[in-house]
Amino acid sequence: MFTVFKHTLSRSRGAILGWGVTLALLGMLFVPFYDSIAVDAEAWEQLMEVYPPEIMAFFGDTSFTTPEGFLSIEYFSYMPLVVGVFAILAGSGMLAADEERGVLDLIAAQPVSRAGLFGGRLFSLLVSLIIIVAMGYGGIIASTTYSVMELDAVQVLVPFASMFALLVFFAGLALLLSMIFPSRQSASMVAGIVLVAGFFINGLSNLNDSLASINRLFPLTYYQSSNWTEGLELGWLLGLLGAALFFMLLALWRFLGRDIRVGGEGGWKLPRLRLRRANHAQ
Amino acid sequence: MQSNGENPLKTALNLIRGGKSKKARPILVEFLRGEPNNPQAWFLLSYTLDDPQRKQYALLQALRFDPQFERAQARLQMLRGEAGRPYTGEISAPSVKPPTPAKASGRIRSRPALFTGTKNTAIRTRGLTKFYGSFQALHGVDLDVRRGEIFGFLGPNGAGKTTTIRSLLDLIHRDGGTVEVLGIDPQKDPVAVRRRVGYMPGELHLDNNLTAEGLLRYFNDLRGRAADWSTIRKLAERLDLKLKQPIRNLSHGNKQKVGIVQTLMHHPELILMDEPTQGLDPLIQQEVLHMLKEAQAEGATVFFSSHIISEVEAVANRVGIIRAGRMVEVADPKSLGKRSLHRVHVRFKQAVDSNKLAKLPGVRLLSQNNGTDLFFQIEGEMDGLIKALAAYPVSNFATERPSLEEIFLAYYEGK
Repeated sequence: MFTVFKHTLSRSRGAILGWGVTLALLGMLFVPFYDSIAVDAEAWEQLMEVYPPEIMAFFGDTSFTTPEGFLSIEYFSYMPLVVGVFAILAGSGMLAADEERGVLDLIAAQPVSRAGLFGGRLFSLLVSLIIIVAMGYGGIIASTTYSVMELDAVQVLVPFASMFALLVFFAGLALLLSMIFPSRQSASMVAGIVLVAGFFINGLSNLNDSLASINRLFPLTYYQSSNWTEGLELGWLLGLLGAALFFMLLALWRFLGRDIRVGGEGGWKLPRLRLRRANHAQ
Repeated sequence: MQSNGENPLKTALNLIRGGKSKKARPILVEFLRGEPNNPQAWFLLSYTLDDPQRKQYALLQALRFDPQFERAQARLQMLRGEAGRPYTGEISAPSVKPPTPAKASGRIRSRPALFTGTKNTAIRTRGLTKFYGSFQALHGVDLDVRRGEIFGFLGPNGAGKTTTIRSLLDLIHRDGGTVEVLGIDPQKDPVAVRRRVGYMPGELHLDNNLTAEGLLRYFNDLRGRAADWSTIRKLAERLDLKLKQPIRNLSHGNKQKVGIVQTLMHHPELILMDEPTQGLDPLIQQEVLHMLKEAQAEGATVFFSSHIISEVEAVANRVGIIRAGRMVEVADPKSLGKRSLHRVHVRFKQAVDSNKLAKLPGVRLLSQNNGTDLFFQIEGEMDGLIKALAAYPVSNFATERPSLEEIFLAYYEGK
């Protein structure tokens, strides 16, 4: 399993660097903007009051002019949409990508158990997510050295930890779907729909109370993008991780029981509609 | 081949009692093609066979379909006492369907093996069944591959060759039957099987992000570094493969070479290769066949599928033919090549009536050109056609050797 983990992590180094550096740079670019906001906070507050509530609903109940509020709105609020793409693609492609390319066949024929193959790759995926999120955190902390923004380094870990849990959730969901759906593409699509729909419903539920009950079904509800100064919601974190673990165990069960495909063979056959022709009556 | 409309079993029985058991054999073989589950037919067949191993096989088949068949049990015990050793697996009769075909449910319904003892056997399958959805790909495949032999596995496209091979490594889960590879059930301990096996898939796909060397290092690491790098380099050298090349830049043939190196590098006890020489130039093909023979000389067993008759004839000790998910025959590859199936090209000095010639027994007209160039396929003796041709002015006569695929397609078509 360790060999699989090592090899997979090595293979993913490009993606890890790409996403991690992007996350770090985003933080390093956005944080200095706070300096101009801090200079005239009152004017910015007035400006934000003019913003349509439909837009402000997506940022949560937070002030733009505080460091925490600024980061919540400019960084943490939409980060899941950005990094969630990686999590979904990594999760859905963990096994299905190689399977569809026909590569998994030969790997699985080596003396490694399916559980070992699954575990090694999953562990690599989790480590990748940790590194990416850690690089994002590093970017934010590093940027405070050249900005007036003052942040509690421990406190700002909370949204990153919550982000990590959310990403693991989506990676697990995409992984499970890739073991159920006939293609990685369809698995990614469905997981992506859950992510995007959750983002919008989460935001719109701040405007429309009737969406509150539906909102509870989406994982973004349990992501601490805006209330992280009040401490970590451990229940939410564990809930997301627990759900992710459930998905992963189900995915493992599916992988252990299925045939390894070669290439893109296999798939769901949709029933054909048979229309009776009038002249074929009787 | 019923005689005078009588029950064929009765006919066969009378022949056996009359001391004409050899004449009974084709009757029973023909009968078993249509009713492979008949224990009495198998029991009678055992009286028509000379080889003790084959006799035991026939009796075991009888007991398979009627475990309470006392006379078969008694005869088997007697034969085992005479032979001194149990049957080790040679088939000359048609493969048998399992009594109750299993529908795919994701669960295995294994039948108990009728005999154990696999020291001399590298691969043993009994009643191997596989469904893909509602399509049954394997219908109770029985296979025995002895240790140390090179076994060619032949069949037309879609016959079940790849399904069988992948079942041996548990890359796909069987739906019925038993499988033993080097004495191990691959479903119970797939890692132990794969550790001792080298596998080359028919559709070889490699990770394009690695070099050939990188991929071989990965596989060697997965094998606990069982392969020695000097061996890997020697294999690569013999196949004219540059290890530093990125796989994405390799041609199909060179990727195939990488596949061959990873199959052989750790000196496996059993080599499973699905179309090993496809995409390779003739010189490298010969080198690969040479490598397989060397592996055999070191004690390895080779099980490979192929379409190329010359390849199979050159290296295989035995050939198994599978068709539509059923084992049709296992035979000496040289005997298959000699089977009476010929393609003949006859050129006449003037146009002739091809219908007369096409009506000769065993003769089939494949094509003609202006009545002067005729292509025939002949099953059986050529004597009839040759004698008929004597009545015509022939300017040229050429025969063509059929491929193994053509042999078994023609031989088993419609049967």
